[in-house]
Amino acid sequence: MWTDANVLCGVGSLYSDARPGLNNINNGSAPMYARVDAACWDYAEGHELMHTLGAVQSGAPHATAAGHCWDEPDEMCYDDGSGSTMVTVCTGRNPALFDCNHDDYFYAGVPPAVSWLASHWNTYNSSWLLRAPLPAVATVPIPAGPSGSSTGTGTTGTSGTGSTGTGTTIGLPQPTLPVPPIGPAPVSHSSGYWMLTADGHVHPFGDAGFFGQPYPLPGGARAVDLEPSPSGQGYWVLDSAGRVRAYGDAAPYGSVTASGLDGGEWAVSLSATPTGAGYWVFTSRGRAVPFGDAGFFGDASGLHLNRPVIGSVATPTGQGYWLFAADGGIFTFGDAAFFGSTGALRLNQPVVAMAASPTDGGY
Amino acid sequence: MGSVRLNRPVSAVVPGDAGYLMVGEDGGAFSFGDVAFFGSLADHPPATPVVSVALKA
Repeated sequence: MWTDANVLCGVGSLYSDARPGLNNINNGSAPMYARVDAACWDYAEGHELMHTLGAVQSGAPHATAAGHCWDEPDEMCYDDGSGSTMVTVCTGRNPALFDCNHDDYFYAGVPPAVSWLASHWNTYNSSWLLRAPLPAVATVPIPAGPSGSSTGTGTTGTSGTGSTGTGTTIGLPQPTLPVPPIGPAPVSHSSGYWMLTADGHVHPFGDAGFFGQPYPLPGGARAVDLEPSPSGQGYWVLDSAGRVRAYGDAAPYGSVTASGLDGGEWAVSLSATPTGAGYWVFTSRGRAVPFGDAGFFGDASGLHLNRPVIGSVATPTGQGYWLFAADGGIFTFGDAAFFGSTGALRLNQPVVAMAASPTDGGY
Repeated sequence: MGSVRLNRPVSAVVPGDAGYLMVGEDGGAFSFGDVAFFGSLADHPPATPVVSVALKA
């Protein structure tokens, strides 16, 4: 289902059942669901639907412990925080494709006898996938009559080598709030701009230069923020896993490692210091992580947040910053002044961005 | 913008000296005040949403 909400990226049902036969629980024996929130529409559907088809089983050769895989690039592979190290195995492959080397969850046909899929659940065999030729003429479905309703009864597997009946939901832990915010200090007489898309593409306009881009990102990670260097001859790109990539004359000062993020926490924005010799990475739980010459002026990680922090703006002096949350809550640190917030208002739509005035006298 | 029908929601904004630039998830760009318009992705919407915009100095 597509949900007009921005709580998560996506989530899908998955039963732990590696049995190869059509009585596999993931083959329609029980209700299963996939949900994709607004910011990930047109992005995460394939991933979540593949979960509901039964991927990735924990016994697969390259499975993580949380329903994904680690042999990238692969639509189902990303660092899901369960302890696996990502390895690029299928170099140059489109990351939107399923199953690198077709040995973990999808083999189109009869897998070789040596393949794990030869004796375990291969989603290619799912009854939900259309493998027959399409009819020459489309037929109009006939609605069921008044007696056409049915009552489902749950089925649990009772035989085979796979464990059965262990339903779970597997989600993409990235931010789903559509916008990572802004960061740069106000700019005079701009001569161009960059746009960053969630899959890591950088699009320059005007005389803004192209210095590189993180596309394709490791499975599951999403680009969340682009911050130019002071000269405009480079930029940093932050992804939801906290990785910072530097391009052009922007220097790398470090990243927030996966182990530095708590479960359900993701990086949301990056703000550079005025010198360009450092930056802060901010997370959805309101943490501020300074690098280079960026100072630490406090953060909101100790506060109970009604909604996640979705962005930050550094003050022009580099001696403070604002954090803002999806409900319009504003948190000020250092020399950032508070001029009000919408945290107490009921909003029709979540806040998605914030910009500070050039005079530092408002936002 | 309140009277403009957007194809996709605004997803980012960046300030200029006396204006700002808004972009939509589909790469549509809307400039106001002293921020000049240099193009958008509206004719070729990206596969995934625009999540950030930054002005070049």
